[in-house]
Amino acid sequence: MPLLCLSSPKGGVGKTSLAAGLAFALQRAGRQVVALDCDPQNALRLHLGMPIFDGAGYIAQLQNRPDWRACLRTTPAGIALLPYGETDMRGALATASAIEREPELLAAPMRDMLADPSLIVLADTPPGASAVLSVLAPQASLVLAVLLADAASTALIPDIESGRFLGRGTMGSLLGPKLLIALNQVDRASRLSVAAAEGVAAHLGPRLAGAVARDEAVAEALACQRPVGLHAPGSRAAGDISDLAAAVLRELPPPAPPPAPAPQPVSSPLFPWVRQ
Amino acid sequence: MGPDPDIVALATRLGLTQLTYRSFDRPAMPGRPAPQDATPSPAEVVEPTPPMELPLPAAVPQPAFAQPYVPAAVPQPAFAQSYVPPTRPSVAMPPLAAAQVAYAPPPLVAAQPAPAFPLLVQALSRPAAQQPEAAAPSGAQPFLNLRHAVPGAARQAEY
Repeated sequence: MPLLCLSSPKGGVGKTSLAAGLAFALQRAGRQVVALDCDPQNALRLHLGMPIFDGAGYIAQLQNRPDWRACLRTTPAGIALLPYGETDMRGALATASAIEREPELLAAPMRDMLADPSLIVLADTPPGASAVLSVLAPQASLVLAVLLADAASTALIPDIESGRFLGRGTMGSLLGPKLLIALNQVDRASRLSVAAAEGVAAHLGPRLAGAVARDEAVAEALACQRPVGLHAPGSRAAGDISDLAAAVLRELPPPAPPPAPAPQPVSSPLFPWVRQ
Repeated sequence: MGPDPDIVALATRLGLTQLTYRSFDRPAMPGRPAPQDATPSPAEVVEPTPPMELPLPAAVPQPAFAQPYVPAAVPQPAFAQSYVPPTRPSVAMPPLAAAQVAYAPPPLVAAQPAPAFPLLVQALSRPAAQQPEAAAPSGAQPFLNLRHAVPGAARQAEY
C-alpha cells in the first residue's frame, strides 16, 4: 500500500490540520487510511476525536517495539489512527535518537504496514529535518511538503529545490520525483498571499499539488475535534482539501484489485472422483 | 580703566556703532577689596566717555551658490523603473436610500453565541497545575498581556 508523508521545512504551516483533513478526504474517496502521527506534539489525535487526556500512542513507545496493530485506535471519524503518544521533551529526544541509531525500529513495522495493499498510510512527520522523515521518505510513494502562501514559506522553495530539505545526491534524486508541494491558508483578501500563491504556482507548475484557502472552519473543526470535511463539508477549505486529495490519489499507485475468488473445486458429473 | 577689548571686538562683530563702554568695563576681581567710600571726590569724577563711532563691520564673505541646490538623481535599478504601484479599483458610491433607514450594524462573529467546543472544554476542565516557585525568578510577575483582549484582565495581571 502507498505511504504518503506530510512534511514541511518549517513549522506552524497547518500540516497536522491538513493531515487530518486529507485522511478524511481520502477515506471519503473510498480508500482505507491509517493515520500515523510521528510528531511529538501528538496533536493529530485531537483533530480526529481522541480525548485530550488519552496519552496512548505508538511512536513514543517505539523503543519497546510495540505491535502497531495493538496500538491502532479507531476514531469517531472512522479513520484508523496510530497516535504519537504522550511524552515529554526528554522522551521525544530519546525516541528520535533511537530511530536515528536504529532506523529499523520504524522501518520494519512500516514495511509490515505497507504489505497490506488495501491501505494508505498517511504519516504526519515533525517539521523540518527529522530522523522519522529520513526513515520514512525512502519508503514513501509521495512526500507532500506543506507551505504557507507567504514570504517566509516562499523563501524556502530554493531550499527544497536544492535538496537541502530532503537531501542531495542519491537521496535527492530518489526523493525528488516523489516531492509535491501543497499551499495552505491562501487568503484571497490578502495581496501578498495571492501574489505568493500565484508566484509559487507559476514556479512549481505540476509540482504544486494544490492550495487550500484560509478558512475559519479549519480552526473550528479542531475545536470540535473533527476533520474539517466532517465538521463543515460545504466550507471552502473542505472543498480545497477534497481537490488536494484527488490530486494526491492521481499520484499514488491504484489500489490493489480485490483478490479473485479461489476456484471452487467442482466435481465432474462424469467422473465425480476427479476434481477439476 | 579703558573699554574691554573683547567687548569692543564683540560690538564690532555685532555691528554696534555706538557704545558707552563704562558699563562694559571689566568687573573688579572677586578678591579685590571694595572701596570704603563709595562717594568719589570731585577730582576723581570722570567725565563719561562720549559715544564712540565704531567702524562698520566688514561684510562677511558668503559662499556664492551658482544655482539653488538640486539633489542628485539616484540611479534606479531596472525593475524599479518598470514598477507601477498598484492602483485600487475605483469604487462607486452606492446610491443612497431615499428614506433614511435606521442602521443596524451586523453582529460580530465573536458576539454570536459560540457553540460549545469540546476540545476547549476538555483542555480547560482541569485546574491549573501549581508551578514550582523555582520556575520563576523571585519577585518576577507573570507576564499577562491580556489587557487589550480580555476586559478586566488588567487587574488580574497586576495582582
